[in-house]
Amino acid sequence: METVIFDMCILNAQIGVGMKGKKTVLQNKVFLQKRAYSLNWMAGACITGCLLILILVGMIHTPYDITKMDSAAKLAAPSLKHLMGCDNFGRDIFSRVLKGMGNTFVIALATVMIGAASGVVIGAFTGYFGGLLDEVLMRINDVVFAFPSILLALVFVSIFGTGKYNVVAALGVAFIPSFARIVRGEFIKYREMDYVKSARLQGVSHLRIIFVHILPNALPVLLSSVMIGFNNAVLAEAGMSYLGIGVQPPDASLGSMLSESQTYLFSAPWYAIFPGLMIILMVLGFSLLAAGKDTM
Amino acid sequence: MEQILEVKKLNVYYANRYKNPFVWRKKRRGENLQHVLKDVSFEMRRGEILGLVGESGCGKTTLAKAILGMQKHYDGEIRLDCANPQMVFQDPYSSLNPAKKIGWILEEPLRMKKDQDRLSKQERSKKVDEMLVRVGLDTKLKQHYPTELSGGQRQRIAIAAALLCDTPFLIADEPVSALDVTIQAQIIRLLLKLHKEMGIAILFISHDLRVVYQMCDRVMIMKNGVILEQGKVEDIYAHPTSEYTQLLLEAANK
Repeated sequence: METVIFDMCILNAQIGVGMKGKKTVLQNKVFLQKRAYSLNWMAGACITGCLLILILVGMIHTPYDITKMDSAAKLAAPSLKHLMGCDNFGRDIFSRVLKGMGNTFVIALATVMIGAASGVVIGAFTGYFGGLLDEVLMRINDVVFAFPSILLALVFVSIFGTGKYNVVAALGVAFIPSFARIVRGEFIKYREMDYVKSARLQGVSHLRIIFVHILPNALPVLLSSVMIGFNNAVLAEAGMSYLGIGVQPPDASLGSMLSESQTYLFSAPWYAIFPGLMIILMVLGFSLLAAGKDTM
Repeated sequence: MEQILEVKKLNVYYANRYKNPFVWRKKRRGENLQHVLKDVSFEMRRGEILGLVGESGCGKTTLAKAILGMQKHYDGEIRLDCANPQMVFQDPYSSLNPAKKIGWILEEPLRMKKDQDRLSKQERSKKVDEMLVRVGLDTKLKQHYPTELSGGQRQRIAIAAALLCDTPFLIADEPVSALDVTIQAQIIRLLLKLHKEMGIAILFISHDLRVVYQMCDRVMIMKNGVILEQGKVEDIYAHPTSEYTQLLLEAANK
């Protein structure tokens, strides 16, 4: 039987006619094998895409005002009226999750952009030129790297005060060393290549070699570290808001919602579940994208 | 004919670097110096092909680097009468930027031209086309990435890029030793043809005596950083004075 199916598949492939409505076992297998490589990418793109749409919607319009309290709906269970239920002040959790995701996303994005941009410049110059500059900057880098980024951000916030923008600045600075190190490694690898030498001989300036000749070669590695960095930034922001030093109430944030929901974990589990789920989905989506990026 | 390159008493040392920060730099400098080039002197005329033969690690590439100014520390005198010397590297797989298309790579030296020599996009593209035809390649290759090309094609591209700089002086650092024999012959024929057409001086570095015999007017034999003998190819091949050259010739004629 198996051989028959196999022969039919080959026949189908050869004459280019599929059996309408009848998918054989083997065809399914072939289909899966072909797609398995980019499955990560597709799943990641679906999750991230859905979340991005939700975030965009949340920026334009939310079903309820996120600060409007309704004493009748205190800790209401999920229903058609309140999709994810209500919190202890009777505020709609769905609306707050939408806004909170937007906050988390924007903060994480800004953090990664600051970290990556500064990291690329520092890493590129130290890696390409080497010498004393490299030694000094990399030792500073090591010192910053030695502290956990969240601890560094805590110190920063305790000096400059809490709030959205301070969190962005704090996490951004804390993220620079990892990017700088990765980019530096790439530049050390590429600066000895013959094409860099011949570009020098052709009279190309150092700056142009760094940003036009070498940087495109370092992009794939940079891209995956940006994606991983984004995940870390999402988690770090959630952690800081959870500790109460990130986004300040009444503004919504996934982390602060989680910390508020702790008290009602048993009486209103949906209060904890939905913000937590959204954090998981955001990180999962980007992790899958990062994993499937090479096979897209 | 006038000289394009004159090297007098060139000495190059490599310091074996310590990574120990507790030893002072000055103290480190004197120790462990490796004498790579010893009193190298020669000259090259315009439009001449000079062969440089020697085993691996004898200092051939160091000499090339010193001439091109990539070797910062050396004793002696190098007078190069040429603004933009070019080099074709041994490994065709790392001499082209893998992130860029062939067309972009070839246009890069043209893009670097200053002020009055500046070329428009069409002019650049036209020059690149001409050069591609000249080195015997299809102009369609402009749309391809270097990874899609064979070793021989890449080496032709590398030669084309060097020639697009309008240089009168080219260093070819073992340009054919990474290629198989038939492609080797093609590349050598191409270099000879370009030499005849454009009259560039070529310092041809190789360890293959037969290739050097085909290409060069004069030849230098190098061993352990010393130039053992130099002169017309025919003379040296017919009457080698040093033992090492005799050994090389015997090995080549086997």
